[in-house]
Order: sequence, then C-alpha cells, then structure tokens
Amino acid sequence: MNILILNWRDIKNPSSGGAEILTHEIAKRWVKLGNQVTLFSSFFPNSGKEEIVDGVKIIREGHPDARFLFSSVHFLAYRFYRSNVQKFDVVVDEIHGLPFFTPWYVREKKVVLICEVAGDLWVKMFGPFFGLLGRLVERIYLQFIYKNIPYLTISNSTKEELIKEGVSGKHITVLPMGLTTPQNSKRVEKEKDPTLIFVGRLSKSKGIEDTIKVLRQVSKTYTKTKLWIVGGGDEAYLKFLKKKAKDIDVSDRITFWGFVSDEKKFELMERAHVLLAPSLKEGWGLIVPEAARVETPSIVYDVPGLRDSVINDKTGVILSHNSPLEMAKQSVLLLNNKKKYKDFQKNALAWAKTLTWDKTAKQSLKIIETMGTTRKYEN
Amino acid sequence: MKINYPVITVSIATYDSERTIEKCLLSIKKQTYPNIDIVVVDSLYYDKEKQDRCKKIIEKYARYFQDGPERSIQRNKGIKEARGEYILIIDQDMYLTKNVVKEAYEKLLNTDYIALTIPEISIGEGFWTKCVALERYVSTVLEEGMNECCRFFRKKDALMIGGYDLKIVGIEDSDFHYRMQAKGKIGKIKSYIYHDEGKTKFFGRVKKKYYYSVAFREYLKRYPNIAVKQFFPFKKAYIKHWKILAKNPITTLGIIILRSAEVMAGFLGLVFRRYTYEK
Repeated sequence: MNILILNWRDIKNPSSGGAEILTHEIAKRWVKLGNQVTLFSSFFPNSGKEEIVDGVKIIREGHPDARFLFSSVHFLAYRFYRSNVQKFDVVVDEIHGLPFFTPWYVREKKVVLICEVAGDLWVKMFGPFFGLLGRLVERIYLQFIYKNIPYLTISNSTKEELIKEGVSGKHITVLPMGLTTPQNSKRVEKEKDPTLIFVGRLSKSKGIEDTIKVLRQVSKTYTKTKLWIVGGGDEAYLKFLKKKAKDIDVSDRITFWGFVSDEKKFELMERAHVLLAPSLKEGWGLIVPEAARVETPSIVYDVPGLRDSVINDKTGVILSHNSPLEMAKQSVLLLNNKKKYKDFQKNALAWAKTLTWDKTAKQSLKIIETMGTTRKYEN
Repeated sequence: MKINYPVITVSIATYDSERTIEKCLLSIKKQTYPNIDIVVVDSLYYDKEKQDRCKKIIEKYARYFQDGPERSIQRNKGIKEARGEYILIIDQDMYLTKNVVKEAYEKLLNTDYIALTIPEISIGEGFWTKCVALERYVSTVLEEGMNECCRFFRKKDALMIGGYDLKIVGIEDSDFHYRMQAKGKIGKIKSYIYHDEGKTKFFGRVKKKYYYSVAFREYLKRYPNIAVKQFFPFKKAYIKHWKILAKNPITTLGIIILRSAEVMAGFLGLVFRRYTYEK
C-alpha cells in the first residue's frame, strides 16, 4: 500500500512531541511491513526539503500555523495531494487543533489520527479571538465534516472526549500504545531513603504543588523522604515552587533537577521509589509506563489520560479522590508494605514490556486495510 | 443459667502510643465482661520505627489497622472494622476499671438510652496534672450532668449518624455527642476510666487550645449555645462544690490560671488562626 501521512511536524522537528514519536514509530513499521509511506509536514529552520528517515519519506513545506493561510502546511498539503493525485491508497489526517480537511478533497480512503481534543486549551493558547474561533471550528469539523471517517486515538479518555464532542463511538479505535526505551539500560539500585519523583514540564496544570504537600505528609512517617522534581519550564513558576517548599519547611529535601536528557531521566526514575502524577489532564500519561519500565510504580490522580495508564492496584494506584492527603496516604501504605511494593514493581515491568509499537503499527494497519474491503465507514 | 454475651468492640485510635498502650490494652483484657473484641487504629503519620515498635505491642492483644491523618478518620475506621454490636471508644492513654464494659452493656440493654458517657479521673505527675484532675473531678465525676462525651453506643447508631465528622479536628467527639443526643437520650455509668495525662505541661495545653480553635469556629456555627457555655471559663459546678476546692487552695489557683490561659489562647486562635490556617 502507498500511504500518505499529513502531520504538522515530523520526528526531526525540534518542537516535536509525543504525537510525532507515535507517528514515526508506526510509520517506520508500516514500511517494514511492506508499505510505502510518505509524510508531508512543515519546514523548520535548517530542515531539508526532503529526507528519508528509517524508510519513511519526509517532505517538508509550509508553516505549521494555519494562520499563515496559503503558505501554511495545511494548504500546501492540499496542493501536494492534487499534484500527486491517484498515487496514494490511504491518507492519514493527523489532527493537532486543526485538521487538514481531507474529506473535502481526498477521494481515497482516509483515516484520522488524533491524540488530544484541544477543547479549553484553545483560548488559553491563542487568546479569546483566535481561541474561540478555533474552538468553534473544532466543534464543527468533529461533528459534521469528519462525521463518517474512522478515528484512531490513543486513550479511552480521548475517546470519551471525542464522543462528548459529537463523534460516534463506533468510528473510534483506541490504539495500544508503545514505549521507546533508552538504548543503554545500565541497571541502578534504588535510593536508600524513600524517594518520590515527579517528571514533567513545570506548569500549573501538572499539579506540582500537590507533590510538595505530599512530601510534607509522608515525612511524618519517613523522616528522610526526598522529592525529586524533574523537568524544565517557567522560571517564575519554579521560583514559586521553591518558595512554597520553604514555607512548609521541606526545601532541604527537594531537588529540582531541571530539564535532563532521556538517559538521565530514566536513571532518576529507576532510582526513585514512587512516581507521583497529580496532573489535571493528560492525553496518555506516557511518563507512567516509562516509570513502570524501570520498575517504579506510580500513584496518580483519577483524571483523563492518567487513569488509562495505570492498572489500579496492580501497577500502581489510582486515587479514589484527588487530594494530596490521599496521595500521601497511599504512598505511605505502599512504602510500608514491602511485599505489595515488590508485586507492583513486577507487574509494572511485565505490563510495560507488553507495550510495543509493533502492536500499534499492526492494529492501525489492520484498520486501514479492512476499512476498504468492508466499506464499513462509508455511507 | 448461662447468659449469652454479645461481642463488644473496644476501639482505640492511637498516635505514638508506646508509653501507655500496653497498660491500656491490659486493662481491657482484665474486664469482667467476657466477650470483647479489641480494634486498634494506629496513625500512619509518625516515625516509622516507632510505628513498628507499637505495632509489635498492639498485635499481641488486638486487631491492628492503620489510617489517618486525623483522629476522626481513625475512629471511623475503628467503627467500620468493629465486629461487635456495641462499641466502646477510648483513647490510648485511658485505663478502664474492671467493670466498665459490663456495667455499660447492662445499662444500655436495660434502659432506653442511645449512648453512655463514662466518668474520667485524671492521673499523672506534676502540678498541672493535679489541677486538671481536680477540675475534672469537680465538673464531671461529682456532677449528674454530662460534661463528657459519649463513648459507648451501638454500632448501627454510630453508622446512622455518619460517624465522627472529619471537618472538626480536636473536638470531633463532642460534636459526635450532640449529634447522638439529637437521636436519643444519653446516660452515664458509675464505673470510671483513668485518664493518664502523663506530665501535663502548661504551655503544651495552652498551645493545643490555640490549634483546636479552628475547629472551634465550625463548632460555634453548629452549636452556638453549647459552645459559648463550654468556652466560658468558670462552671456552676465550681460554686456547688466550693468546699472541695477550698480544701486545695493552691491547686484551685492553678485551675484558675490554666483555664484563663486556655480561654485566652482559644480566643486568640479564633481571631488570628483564620488567616494562617491552610487546608
């Protein structure tokens, strides 16, 4: 099969994130399974116009922001498709806020890949004018334009959100997620003193303040408990956190690691005992399986995304109600019970090992193949 | 004639209880009532090594659980885990005299009371303990009225009113008492409990009042009349039993100083803690 993927960024883009990893990991496996894959995406400073990465042909043109209108990647993707018409069997339309509006011009099979519904983030990111406009456009395309197109998504939470936005549940498939692990996996020992770890961007939506409260509470039981906060971000917020820690007198046991390399990140996660994830919302809390891969169980808030990435009471704990006190309690209970902790470690590792991109690639390919033969999705 | 005694659960919420817990548990073991189940709910939030030592002692006598962070949470857990139809709630520093459970059971069975209070006698070292003990003796043991909180009740009644309130830290037992009272009459038995105050420290006690003032505010909202009455430093009982007080003039002076300081602290807390309290 000849597959065309339309995405706003590619794997080499410095601003790429989890969605690009997912796209690239499945694309390169589709190539291995005997398909031709072309990825059309935007340019970035010093990017080549064409490149082949792991067998995937990447073509870069246009600007990722749709507000550039005729020089945006969205419009140029249309032009690219028109000039190569009838060359492709399938078009994958990847949505990051705005889609490529393929139902308007692609005659062949098409499928949507969506990681997160932007929802309320629109206004936060683009201000009231473009934000509300974007939000309106999102509702319209999800409900009407992409009505009968199969959706691929990454978690049950996103699926639920899509259904809330008016997409029919029978069109949505949740793909199993894979895990990219570091190449040189040197094993390191756990820390001597109980160590809690938070990994992620320093931003208010991640709930880092709560981890500091958790530390204070856990310290009452284990007086030498440490907290590691791994991740870069807003300087002002970092200052605020440091002040907060000082106020409740735990600053000497908190380490702010800042932004670290992937290898260092995995090393720290392996040395820590428990991963805390008190976010307000996630697409698919990738950090949780990553920690599981290095045998660190997680304690997470019961929120979209995170509740999909923990098997409650097997690989970690999903809290019955989201509060620092409850999180502290579960941390202490887990640290108290050595047998339970060992079981969690074992389960977490076993579960993380089942997360492979091969599965993701195979399942998505199957959907693309079968939708043609059964014509299930076409009216 | 053989009498069938139902199971009665004695539930204790503990925090760093190494000093008194063994004596407390032994006093339960020595009860004349034959069918007792003991539940201890220890706090999760103090030094782990001490926790382990306490656990070792407790597990010899009782079923051991852990919960927290507030005492009310631990007590509710104790009620939940109770196997008995009746529950006696005590603290880690209380020693029962040997007839307490039996008398309480018989009283609840043969009357229409919904719950019972048990008089306490304070023991311990030091001058301030003596003051506290005398004050308690005058205002509770000698009095007919109820200045104590109910400790003995049926499990189903406790569950019906939803157990202890988590919002009121420190005085959740008197809130519990008044909610229980709304459902039925509360009685009192004659046997008493020794309350081991250890060595009472003046500032320790005053400080405690300061911290509990946050909960007191909530309490004031719910039971304004009762709260003001309890808040008021001098009780009618003092006048009624003036002879006993007069016999111990120095201790009485101590009581006056301590009560005044406590009320001051509570009042200050009420005013200032509003701004510093953080949930």
